[in-house]
Amino acid sequence: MPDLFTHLVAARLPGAFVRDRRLQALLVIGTFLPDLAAKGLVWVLWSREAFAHASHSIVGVLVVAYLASLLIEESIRRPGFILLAAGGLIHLVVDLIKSYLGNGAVALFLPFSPVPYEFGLIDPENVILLVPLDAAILAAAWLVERRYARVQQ
Amino acid sequence: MFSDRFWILKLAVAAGLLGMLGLRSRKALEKEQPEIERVALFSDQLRDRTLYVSNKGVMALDATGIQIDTRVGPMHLRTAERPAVGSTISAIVRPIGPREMEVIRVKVNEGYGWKRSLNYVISIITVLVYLWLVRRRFRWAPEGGVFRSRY
Repeated sequence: MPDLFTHLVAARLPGAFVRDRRLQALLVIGTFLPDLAAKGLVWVLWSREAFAHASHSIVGVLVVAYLASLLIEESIRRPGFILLAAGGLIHLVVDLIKSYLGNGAVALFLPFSPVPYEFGLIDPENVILLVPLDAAILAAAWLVERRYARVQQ
Repeated sequence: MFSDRFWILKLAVAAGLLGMLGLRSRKALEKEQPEIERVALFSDQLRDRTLYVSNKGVMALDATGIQIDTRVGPMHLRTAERPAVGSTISAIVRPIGPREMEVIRVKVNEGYGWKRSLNYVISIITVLVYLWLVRRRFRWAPEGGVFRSRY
């Protein structure tokens, strides 16, 4: 799995276009959810890994995002669900860049199809080496956002 | 669907759906991609299947291949590759007998131990720091949604 800092950066960039700061936060939290759900199922509930793989599918992302959206207040629950789900889908796209020797990284269409897909661009263990690059991208995005906000004022 | 009516019921239904989804996914995945531990009891169902071996430690080398550590004891991979004993490998394999597999592709995961540990450390720190940073955008209020907006 890529580290959650890489996932944060991947969600934070499109998040710059979300004006509401609460919803922006939910987009980023949404990108954490597939891994939090998977690790929670395996480490806390002692589920099998194959059971937890469901959290890394499109249907799984929607169900987990709906569960999480029930924890936020009613007035922002509907857009909150959409942003949480969008964050989860960004997570799946980032996971697809990994290379599992052509075996496939993410079974997107579980439970209907167990066939995993991958773009096969980077070794899963080497995604951690992207952290400095992620930090630079995040810093650049933050500076651009600040400058843009100042111009608007 | 997004209202507070029957909140507990909706939470229970969503949790139930997640459980059902997990069970169906597990069934589908175990049929499509059996775990390599099943090769310990080789059957015709495994013949001509390709399996993914994920991050297994190399225990020993011999003339025909390598021995890896699994949850059900050592298994043998036939390969011409010579990864160092103690290293971690991933591979695509084809079962050919009890505890015996033929390697199609293999990759040595250099620095697996520190990279995986660093991954978890960075991930945990990222989640905790981000939630701490955005905590002011929400407030704890169990009635009507656990996390309520401050605005």
